[in-house]
Amino acid sequence: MILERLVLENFRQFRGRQELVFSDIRERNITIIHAENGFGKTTLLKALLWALYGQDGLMGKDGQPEDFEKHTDLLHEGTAATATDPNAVTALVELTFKHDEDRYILRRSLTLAQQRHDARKTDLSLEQMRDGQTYRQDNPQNRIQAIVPEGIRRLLFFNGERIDYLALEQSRAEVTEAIHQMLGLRLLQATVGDLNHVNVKGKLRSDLKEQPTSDQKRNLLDEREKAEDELAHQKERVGQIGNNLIALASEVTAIDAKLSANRDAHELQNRRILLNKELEELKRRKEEADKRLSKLIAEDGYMLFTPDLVTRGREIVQRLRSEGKIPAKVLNSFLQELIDAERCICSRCLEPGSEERKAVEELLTIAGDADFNNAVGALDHTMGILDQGAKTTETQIRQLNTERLELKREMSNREEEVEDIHQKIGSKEDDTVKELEDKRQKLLLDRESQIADQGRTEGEAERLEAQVTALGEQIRQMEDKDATAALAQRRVDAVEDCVELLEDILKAETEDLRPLLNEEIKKHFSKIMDRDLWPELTDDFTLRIRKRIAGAVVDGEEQEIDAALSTGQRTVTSLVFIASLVALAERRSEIPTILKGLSGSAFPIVVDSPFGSLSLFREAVARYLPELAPQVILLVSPSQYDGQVEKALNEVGRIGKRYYLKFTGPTLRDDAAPDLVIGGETIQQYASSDQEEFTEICEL
Amino acid sequence: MSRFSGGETARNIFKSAPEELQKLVREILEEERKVQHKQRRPNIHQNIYDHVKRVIK
Repeated sequence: MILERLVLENFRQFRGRQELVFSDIRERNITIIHAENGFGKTTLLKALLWALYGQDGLMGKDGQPEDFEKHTDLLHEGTAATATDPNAVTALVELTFKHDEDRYILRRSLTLAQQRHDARKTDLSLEQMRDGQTYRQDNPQNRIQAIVPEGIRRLLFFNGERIDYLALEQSRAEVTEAIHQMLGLRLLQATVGDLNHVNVKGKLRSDLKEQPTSDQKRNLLDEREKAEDELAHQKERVGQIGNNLIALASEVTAIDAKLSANRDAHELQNRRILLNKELEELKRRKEEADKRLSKLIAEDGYMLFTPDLVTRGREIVQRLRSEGKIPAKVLNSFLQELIDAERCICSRCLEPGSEERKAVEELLTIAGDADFNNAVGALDHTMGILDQGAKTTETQIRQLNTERLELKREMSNREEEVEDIHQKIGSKEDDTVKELEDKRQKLLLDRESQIADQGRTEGEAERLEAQVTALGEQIRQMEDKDATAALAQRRVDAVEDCVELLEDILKAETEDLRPLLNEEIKKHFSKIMDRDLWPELTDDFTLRIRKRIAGAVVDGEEQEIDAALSTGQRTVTSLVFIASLVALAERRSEIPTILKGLSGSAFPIVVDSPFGSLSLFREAVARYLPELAPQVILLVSPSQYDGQVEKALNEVGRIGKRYYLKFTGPTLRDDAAPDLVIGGETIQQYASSDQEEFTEICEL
Repeated sequence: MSRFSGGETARNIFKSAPEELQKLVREILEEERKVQHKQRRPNIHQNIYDHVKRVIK
């Protein structure tokens, strides 16, 4: 899929017909849209998603509307307010794109009447143009899902300030899911889900229960059913708790916003927001450090207990050396050869019973052995490795502990300050502020209680899962005498075996993709970061960055550890991971797989605020962006498009198209400027008007 | 020839499964392929159930 043109009509703040043509030239594959915050950057991203997926495209990972207030009000407010006939005014998004040699025009629209009734019900059409003919797709949504499955949309259309989650330790499920979605393995996952469905496995089990079988087996079947019901209940509960936590977080955010807007609490509240953000980051870093420490202790901790052993070994070697036993002056194999040949090297005869032979045989009792010589050499070498390894491990543990203690100290400082702010805000005279603060505190206590509940419920679900597996195994072992019961059991077994087989195949296919992905990830990453750091998609599908430890060399090899990542580094790693998936998706047909018909496709990447979380890496990422995907669309605010970024992008020379958003309205946000300065040129991007409010797309 | 290696492990896993299971998996995957891009798949579970009953006799 390569995007060609986006047309908006009365969509949110875009009044009338507005058009944007994307650059589709591979050598100039970047389209930049400059816009102040609040002018409509995110709306453009959402317009693309709405055109493709309707209201579902406007939802976040949690199923809640994301970055879009009043997400069902899509028609331009002014146009809607003055409409005389609700069926005559329409919000429309039209997207033209190329996919596998064909051109498509997708149109999604919503009248004011539909918006008022149910904004989810939109009109959708998709026309496909091939060899000069136009075909209207009967089921446009299905065709869109085939071209760009909804599961990959978060990897192609995203907010650059929030993509860093992919490089978090706990995101391995998302990383694996992204691989499955982008590289066509979703089919296997869906099949497993369907086989496990109550209407397949459940129904076959019911069939089995209806057959004549032993009481003992029936009891086990009942027991498993009960455990499965309980497990489903616990899993549902985990989901509910997750939703409660999201709801609590959004309530706290709402209160925070109110406190921020209050003159009395404004300063303290803003400080608290900042501190909480820092606390979150510190907590995450501490968790990572804890994990790295556990891993280090599990893998290399034994080395700390080896110094006594090494000392003893060295003493033995030393003693053998001082006794002249190693290295042996003469080898027993050599003496044996002389005895066997009955002739000494001095040409004397070594006949049995001769004095000369006796002398040589006596030497044999004190001569050294070649194997012994080698063994002592190897022991000496191993002791050297253990000695160095113990020192390195000790240093690493000490470093990690220092890091953890430092993080704990920083966390505790911030927690103290947050508590202090709570006390200060709670003691304010203003009743509204006091009330808000009390409510906030209660919500935080509720959150703690929910988190504790979550841990308990997850533990219980794990226990039940193990119980269900054990019961299943017991049931399988029990043979049925009745033929129909045996057949019913065989069918249940077959479904369970199919699930296991497909899961193994999915695992193997995913595992086979890992080295290819690692190769791509390393290639992309090296264009941004220095060579002492390198990314790695680990065995358990966690995205990590490794680094060499300065001066630590064991057995000739430089020692390496996981690097603690900053938000900027995580963002870079996530971008690189997505770029690698997009690159492999384009070459999918060349990659061996058991699945039939997986073709390669080019995909665009559309990033809102690409430079927001990058800090130090802005310039390097700006230079790398053209290689992110065959087509890259950037929605940037002037503050992010600073000197460094602008210079780097201009130097790379891959910008194909450039637009800016012009806003007309009664007020301009405090953090927005009325003019846009690009390449030294000043462009008016805001026009004041008390009567109207709208955004226009202008080409630069 | 592809410059990429891999894919063998999955193939071997599949081939080492009993014939009957291979047949069932093939048929079910075919069924899934037909509807993989559809938002609504009303008959998929019944169709899979029928495949199991037909193949495992």
